[in-house]
Amino acid sequence: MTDELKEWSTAERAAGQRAAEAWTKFFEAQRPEVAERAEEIAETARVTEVQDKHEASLMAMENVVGVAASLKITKGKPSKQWSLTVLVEKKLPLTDVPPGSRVPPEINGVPTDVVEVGRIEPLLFTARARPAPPGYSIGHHNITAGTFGCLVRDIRRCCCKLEKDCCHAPTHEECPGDYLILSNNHVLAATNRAQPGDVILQPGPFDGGVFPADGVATLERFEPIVFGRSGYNLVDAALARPTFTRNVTASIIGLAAPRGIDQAFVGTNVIKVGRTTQVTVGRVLAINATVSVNYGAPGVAQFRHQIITTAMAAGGDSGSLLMDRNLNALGLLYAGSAVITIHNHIADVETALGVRPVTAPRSG
Amino acid sequence: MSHFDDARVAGIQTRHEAELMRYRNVVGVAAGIRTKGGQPTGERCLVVYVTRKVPASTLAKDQTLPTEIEGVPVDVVEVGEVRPLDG
Repeated sequence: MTDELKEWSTAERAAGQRAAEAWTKFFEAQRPEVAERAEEIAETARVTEVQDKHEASLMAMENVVGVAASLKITKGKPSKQWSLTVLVEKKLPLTDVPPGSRVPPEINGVPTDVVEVGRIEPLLFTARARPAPPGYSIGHHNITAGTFGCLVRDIRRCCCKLEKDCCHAPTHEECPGDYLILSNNHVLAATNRAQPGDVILQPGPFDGGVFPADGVATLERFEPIVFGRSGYNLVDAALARPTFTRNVTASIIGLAAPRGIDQAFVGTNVIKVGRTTQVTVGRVLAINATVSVNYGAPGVAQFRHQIITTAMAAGGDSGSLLMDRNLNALGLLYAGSAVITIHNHIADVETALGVRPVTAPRSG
Repeated sequence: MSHFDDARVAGIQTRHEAELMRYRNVVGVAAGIRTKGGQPTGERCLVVYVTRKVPASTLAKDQTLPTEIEGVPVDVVEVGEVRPLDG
């Protein structure tokens, strides 16, 4: 493995982008998206119009970090009144604000609302985080970095079979199972080279994770990758056991925990959260693809029954959970080129490792 | 575009996948949707992913991909090298 993360060139990325746009347009024409929230659009039309006109002058004011159409907040509670919300770093008494930077109470008849949000910084998915959320950098101490996909429950080795830490569930079926970290074999198990018990760092070594101070988990088990033309694989997946359960959370940064499990179909609108390209969207192009993936030194491995999507990832995104727009888990991202991204079906991951992703079903 | 077409293409993929994967430059085979000049047409086809598209005239005869198999068009798509997305 090299010390550098693999990056696409600008030209390669542009080609991937063009292909993705063509596919998005195609699928949108196939099944026009229902004009959801039509009411909201009607109500906010006036606010949006005013926002467009005055955004530049508002953003030029001292202290202002954002402008948006939103519900007005009165005494800390959202009201039903749509307003032009001005986000400021810090709310100051009116007398301390220079006259040119005072937000008028209303603009062209639309009420304004000043909300303090602090300084806006880019989300750093390469940082050390405790608890570590899925989507953040993670990796075996011998690799560069990948992505923490999601939390799963171990259904193969019920905790009650172990002598220590028994959950004391009355029956095997009722045992909730241990919580484990899901990512790729080549992220957590250094492409078959690691031993169970090896330390997993968060962030990954490339992002400054140091052995053993940034250890968050230990390698639990992995599905070995079979190299060469004669064999084939279904998944590039591995599990790590958090050193302490309080070290990890199930909520994917910026989004909620996965809602459930679903099957990908050609045309499905998908989203993923990963270390490098963070939140990206794409479309499913194929669900039963056979591909050869070049792992470098260990060789080429063939994979069957794979999901192909438009390009939505770069080096470091390996291990990201692929979800549909309702946040149902569909796949596990592991490989790609500048034009396509490749994922394992989540059901194949469940079968290979004997796990079930932790989900938070929507009530009602 | 029907389920019948989907099943037919899936069957053809199963039968011819191994042989297609043996071509040099081929990195993937899937039942998918055809594109022409980068624009999807909606026609069901067998998509063959290659690292690099090469003019048929410069290829040896046994390295030239068929344009159709069992009546289903073969769409050759250039995707570059496929690799794991860590470092």
